[in-house]
Formats: sequence, C-alpha cells, structure tokens
Amino acid sequence: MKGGLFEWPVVSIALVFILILFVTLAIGFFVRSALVGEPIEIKTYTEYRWMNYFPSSVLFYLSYPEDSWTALNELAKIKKEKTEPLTIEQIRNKYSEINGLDKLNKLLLALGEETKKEKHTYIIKDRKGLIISLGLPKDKLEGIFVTFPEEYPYNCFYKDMPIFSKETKNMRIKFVYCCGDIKECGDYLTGPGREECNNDPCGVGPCKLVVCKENSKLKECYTEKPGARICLKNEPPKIKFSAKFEGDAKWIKEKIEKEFEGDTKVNFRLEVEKNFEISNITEIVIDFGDSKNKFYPKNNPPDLEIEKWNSTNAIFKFNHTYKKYGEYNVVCTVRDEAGNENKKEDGELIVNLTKT
Amino acid sequence: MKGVTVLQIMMIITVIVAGLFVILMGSVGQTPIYYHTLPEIQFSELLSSFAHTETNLKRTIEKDSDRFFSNIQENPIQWNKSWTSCSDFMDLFGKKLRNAASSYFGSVYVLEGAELNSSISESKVQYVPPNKLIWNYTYKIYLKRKMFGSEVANEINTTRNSKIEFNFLNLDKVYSCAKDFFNQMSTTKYKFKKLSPNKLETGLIQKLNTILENIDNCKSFDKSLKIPISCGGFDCDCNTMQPVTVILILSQKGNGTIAFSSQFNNFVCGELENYCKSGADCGTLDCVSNFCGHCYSSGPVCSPSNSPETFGYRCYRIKSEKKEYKCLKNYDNIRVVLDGFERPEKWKKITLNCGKKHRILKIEGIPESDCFLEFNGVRIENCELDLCDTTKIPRTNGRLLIYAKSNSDEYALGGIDINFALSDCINKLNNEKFVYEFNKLNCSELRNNVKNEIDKKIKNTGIEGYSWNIEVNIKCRNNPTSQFDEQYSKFKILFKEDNSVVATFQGIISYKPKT
Repeated sequence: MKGGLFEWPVVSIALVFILILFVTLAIGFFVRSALVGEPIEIKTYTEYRWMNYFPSSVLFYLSYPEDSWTALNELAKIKKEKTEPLTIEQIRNKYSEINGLDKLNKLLLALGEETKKEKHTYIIKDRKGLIISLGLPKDKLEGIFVTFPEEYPYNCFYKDMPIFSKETKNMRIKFVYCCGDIKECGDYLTGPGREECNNDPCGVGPCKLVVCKENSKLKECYTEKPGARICLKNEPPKIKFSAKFEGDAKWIKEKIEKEFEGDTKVNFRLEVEKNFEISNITEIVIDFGDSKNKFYPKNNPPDLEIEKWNSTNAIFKFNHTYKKYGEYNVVCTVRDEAGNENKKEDGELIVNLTKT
Repeated sequence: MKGVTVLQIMMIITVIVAGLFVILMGSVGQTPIYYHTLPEIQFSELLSSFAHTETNLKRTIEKDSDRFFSNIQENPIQWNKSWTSCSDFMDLFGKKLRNAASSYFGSVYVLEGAELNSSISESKVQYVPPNKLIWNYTYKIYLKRKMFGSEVANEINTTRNSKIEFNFLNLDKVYSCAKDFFNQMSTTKYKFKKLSPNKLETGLIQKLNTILENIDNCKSFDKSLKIPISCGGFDCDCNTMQPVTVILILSQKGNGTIAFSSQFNNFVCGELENYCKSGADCGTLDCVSNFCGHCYSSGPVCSPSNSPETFGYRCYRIKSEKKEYKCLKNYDNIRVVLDGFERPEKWKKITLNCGKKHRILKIEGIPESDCFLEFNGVRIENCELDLCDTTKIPRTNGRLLIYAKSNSDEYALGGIDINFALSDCINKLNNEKFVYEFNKLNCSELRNNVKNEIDKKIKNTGIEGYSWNIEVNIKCRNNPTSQFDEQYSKFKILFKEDNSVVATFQGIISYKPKT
C-alpha cells in the first residue's frame, strides 16, 4: 500500500520517541532501584484526611470523661515557662492535687498501647498550655523550642483544642502524633544511603541494618533475596550476673557474704543472651568496687574464661581477689557493637566481707 | 560534516526527557508534605477546630459553673424598687450572664493559626421554681484561616442556640432578701465627718451588714457586701460625698451566685457612730477593724462583743457548710514540734518513711482541750500524734489541718502536707503493668516466678524500711499449667511494719506466651 501510515515522517519519529522512552524508562527505573532502593510510597488523600481526623478524635477521646477534662484544663492552666517532657506518671506525682489524673492516665495508657507508642507518651507543660506527644522519643522533645517534624520518618501531625477560661488568653491543648508508620525496626526504609535504621529516630529499637548478602546465615535472611537490606531489632544484651567465694559450690545472684579472713578470692559468672549474629558483644566492663577492669572477649584475654559462646548465648567467668573487708558494689556492663548496654540492675551484685 | 538527522535529535531528546522523569519521579526525597495546602484538608481542619471550640465553650460553662457564677458579682443587676417579683429582673439577669460569659468566649482568639471570634448575642434565663435555672443563649463562632500569600480564605461563620440547666438559688427568696435589704438600706443613714475611703468602706459595710444579718429572708444564703469607694485620692468628706454603689452578693454552695447593686446616698455629717476600739464599745456586736459589726472575711483583727481585748483575736472562717466568719482567738505563737524539735518553717511539707522511723508531731501554743487535727477528712481528737499510727491516720498522702475550738465553733489555724514513702510506692505500683511471660510451668514454679516478678517491681519503686508478703491467687487447673490455662491472676501485697500489716495493694498480673 503506497503512501501508508508508516511512511509519514511524523509517525516514524513518534514511534521512535515512544520506543526509546519505554526502553530508557525501564532501564532508568531498574538502575535507580538497584542503586537507591524502592521509591517511597506516596500518601493517599484518605491518609491525609486521617492525619487530620485522628488527632482531633484523640482530643475528644481524652477530654470526653468529665474528670479527665477537668484534669486537662487544670494542667493546662498551671503557669510554667520551662518546657520539659514528663510521663503521665511523673505528672501524677508532681501535680497530685489535681483531680482526674487517674482517668487521664488510663486513657493515655490505652491509647499508647493501641498505637504501640506507650514507650513514647509524654506530656509537655508549656506557656501556651499543654502538649500531649505520642511517638516522638524524649530526646527530641527536650530543649527550649520543641518542633514536630513533618518529614519522613517522623510524619508528625497534630491538632489544637482551645482552653476557655476567664483567667487565661489563647491557651490550648495540643495533641501530636509522630512516627505513626514506624512501629518496629522493620518499618524503616532501608535503601542504600538511608541511615534511619541505624539511627533509629523514632526510638523503636535499638535497630541494626543487615545486608543479607553479608549475613546469609541469619534466619531473617532465609526468605529474602541475597541483596536485600533489612532492618532488625538489635536487642540489648540480657545478662545474668552471679558470684561465689572460692570453694563454694553455688552461684549466687544479688549478694554474697562472709567474714573477712585475709585475701578473699571471688569468682564471677556472666551469662549473656543475645542474637550475636545481628550484633556481637564487644566489651565487658567490670567495676569490682575496689578497682575496675575491661575485657574485649574477641581478643581472648587470658583472665577471662569463655565457657560458651554460640549464636545466642555466651558464658564468661573471671575472678577478683579482695584484700580488705567491706561491702563492695560490683557492677558489670556488657556492650554490643552498636554500643547498647544491658539493664543496669541486672549487672549489680554485692560482695560483703564482714570484719572479724 | 554531515548534520545530525531529525530522528537522532528526537532520540537524544527522548533519552533526556526519560532520564529526567526517572530522576524526578524516583528520587530518594521524601513524600511531599502538601496535605496542609489541599483545600479540602484546610476546610476539614477548620471544621474540626470549630467542633473543639463549640464543645469546649459549652463544657467550660457547664463544668466551671462555680467560677462562672462568681463572675456575676462583677456584673451585678441594678436593683429597681418597683420590682414586684423575681420575674421582673430575669431579662436583666440574662444580660448579666452574657457579660459574665464574655470573658470565657473571648479568651481564645487564635487557634492553630486560624482567627477565632466567639461571642454571645442573645441571652435569656428561665427560672423553674424552686431551684432550676435554664439559660438559653445564642452564640456566634467565626473562624477564618487565610493561606499565606493567597487572597482565598476558609471561613466558618455560624450562629447557634444552646440551653444549659443549672441548679440555682431559690429566686423568690432571693427577691425577698434583696427587697428587704435595699428597702432598709434606703432608710439607713451613715454619719461621718472625714474618713479615708478604706475606713469609710469598712464602716459602711459593717453598718449595712448588721442590717443584712437581721433580715429573716436572707438567713438561708451566704451573703456578702461590696462597696467600692473612691474619693479622688483624698479623704472622703461628708459635705462633698457622692453616692456610692452597694453590691449585695447572695450565694449557696453548688447553687450559684447572684448579685444586685443599688446606690447609697444617705451620708450625713456627724460623729462616726459605729467606731470602736474593742468589743466592749459594741455591745452585742464584735469590733472588726475598728468598726462595730460582724466578721465577713478571714483575717481582719477583731475584738469579740463585750470584750475589752484589743489584740489576740482575728476573724476566722468557721467549720460549717455555710460561709460564716467569727471573731475568735488568734494563736499567734503556735509551734509545730516534730520529734521534740520545733520546726523553723512550721507549715512546710513533712516527708515520712514510717518503715524506718515513726515521727511524733505535737502542736504547742494551744490548750490541749481546744485543739484537734484532721487528716484527709479523719478527725484526731488531740494535738499530739504519731504520724505513723495507722489506727489514727490513714497511710495516704494528704494534708493535716490544725483546728482550734471555741465553744461550739471550730476553725482551722493552718495545714501541713504529709507525704508517706509507702503511699508514693503504692502510687508507683498503680502505674505499673504486671505481665509475666511463660509457656508451660509447674504450678508451684509459676507461683514462685510470679511472686519474684512482683517482688522485683516493688523493689524497683525504691521503697525501703518495709517488709511485704505477696499473695498470688493462682488456681492451676492443670499441673503443669500452660499460658492458655491461666490468662491472669489476682494478687495482693501486704506491706508490713514491725510485723503488722499497714497497707495492702491489690492488682492483676496478666500472662503472655513467651516468645
């Protein structure tokens, strides 16, 4: 067919344009995904609406019962210049004269539990009234000017409720909800160049970024592609710390005691539980009460006996000789690669050597 | 050199366009925060601000009614002699309520960047005898938010009606009381020559108070008078004295307040008639701040009727349902002695750990028979007390009030806040969540582990000086029992001091599967 459609120069140019566009886009997106990870999901209009309705409905929920309404109003009206984030428990202790704090406490606890933000529920008394903050860690709420970032991963949104009173002007109760999409470490974006997982700005961790290619034995990587980057909870070390006098049979946890009859050797046993594949332990710091010592277990120090050290469990033993009678507070701290430490109270015990 | 073809140019342009598209659409940047600027979101934000404004305005007036009605004394109803019943002043009362509410409505004028203007346009009261007051009011709420740099603004401008019902004073009795008082006031003369405004105010209040105290129709109310007097910064002179406004305030606890005002113009030049130096100058009346009359507030120096005393007495509010003041003995030299040592700051808070040390409080400077204490509503019939004695005072934080007695009158001299370590510990436990994780355990092992878990929580509160027993109600239908058999257990902590139980804490520990 002469003079057909494909013979028009414009049609040929358009076809080339479309073809090249498709090919370039496909290659471009592939290269981009490989380099910087999947694109961020754009929020929908419904989500925007929810961002507006949720804080508003929380304010109604918190202020609906008469006693918590009174408590919120009374708290807001207290004169205070310094802003300082307090937990509801601290508020109850500090302002025990205000009625209705019990009810407010119950409502806030339920809200924190439901949104999985109970760890980060704070009340800030400021000169404009009160801010109830859910989701933002305490360190982000400290300082003279508290800001609630709207960008990822915080995505803070808020609502103000007015406080009408004949004594005050322009008072409000502000409810702020942040980090709503980040409930656990796995919710952080993990694309190349992203630091959120290791920095844990929403305080859901501590978290650690793991590249499956380098940690193929890790259980969490079994179902992932070899190049996957996953954000895992990096639990702080859990320890059991016990001691016994030389010659005794039983390891004792909180306190060991005996009469001082000259140099006394005390044996210590430290059991550490942790997923070492995610983050191994790097150092053991021990304060014997009369001196301090530090072990780097990976270097196999001669005065540290390593009884066991598998992927989730390790047992270490060491000893110390006390040369004077007295009550010694022994404190043991175990640190992992990310600097996380065990609970302080788990690493404490007392060695009491009484005077004869 | 041959030039590039159109096709080649197109291919290059296409690659550039596609590249830009990929970079822009797939950038690692964040989701743009533009939802604030969406018109629908803007309006919906304004709408929820409106809902909070409206709800809180109504609730403030409802819940804060005591303070709301106390505003009325700043907006008294101008008394009119021709009124024949309470219905004659209802319209005026409605307007005064509107004025009293205006300070609430105008207290917030910016909300989340939106301009807020709320006010009451109409206000009517309806009295339902004997004790109901229905307030119908029309209010306006205007909310406007303008986007930065834009001419367009979102607005909500609405007018609504609302109705609130209050428990209120019996207005028929209020009318009779006010009528009798203002009638008698209009025939009363006040003699003086030259007096400072403050003294004239006190003297006139005392004179009119003696009238008010004797009116039968006023007996059921808490009543007070306010007479603001100013004489241009000088002493007041009887020859040039202008009329003054007398405000009569009537109230009852939980039943609101109403206030009326009227002019007093019967100043006459002559010897000051109710001036006194002691109660002996006043016959059956007291001498309060150098004028014969009654105590009408706490604090002024006074001398009781027929008494030559010129010091050692003050006006105190006596312990009763009504607001009543009397001229009673002032114990200036009261001493608060703790464990045998006088406290330099006698009203300072006392913090106790009864598990470590019992502390004995003694109030000195008041005769023993005239002194008693009250702690959290519990009366203690003398003024020496072991603060840790649970048979006398409950082990919860509170305020210890020191009372004196005079005939049948009892009055508070001061108070000390008392904090118990055990009470603080129980408060902390109330905030704790008791959860124990297990899958399957031997019954006795479960009981022990749960006890240890609770024990750890108690120790974490930092309590010292006490011992405790933990009773856990675990039924164990199966042995070994699993988390599915038991979902929660009740427990009781018995706090002991010297082997006797001084406080009990009851709670619930819930079980979760161990992960």
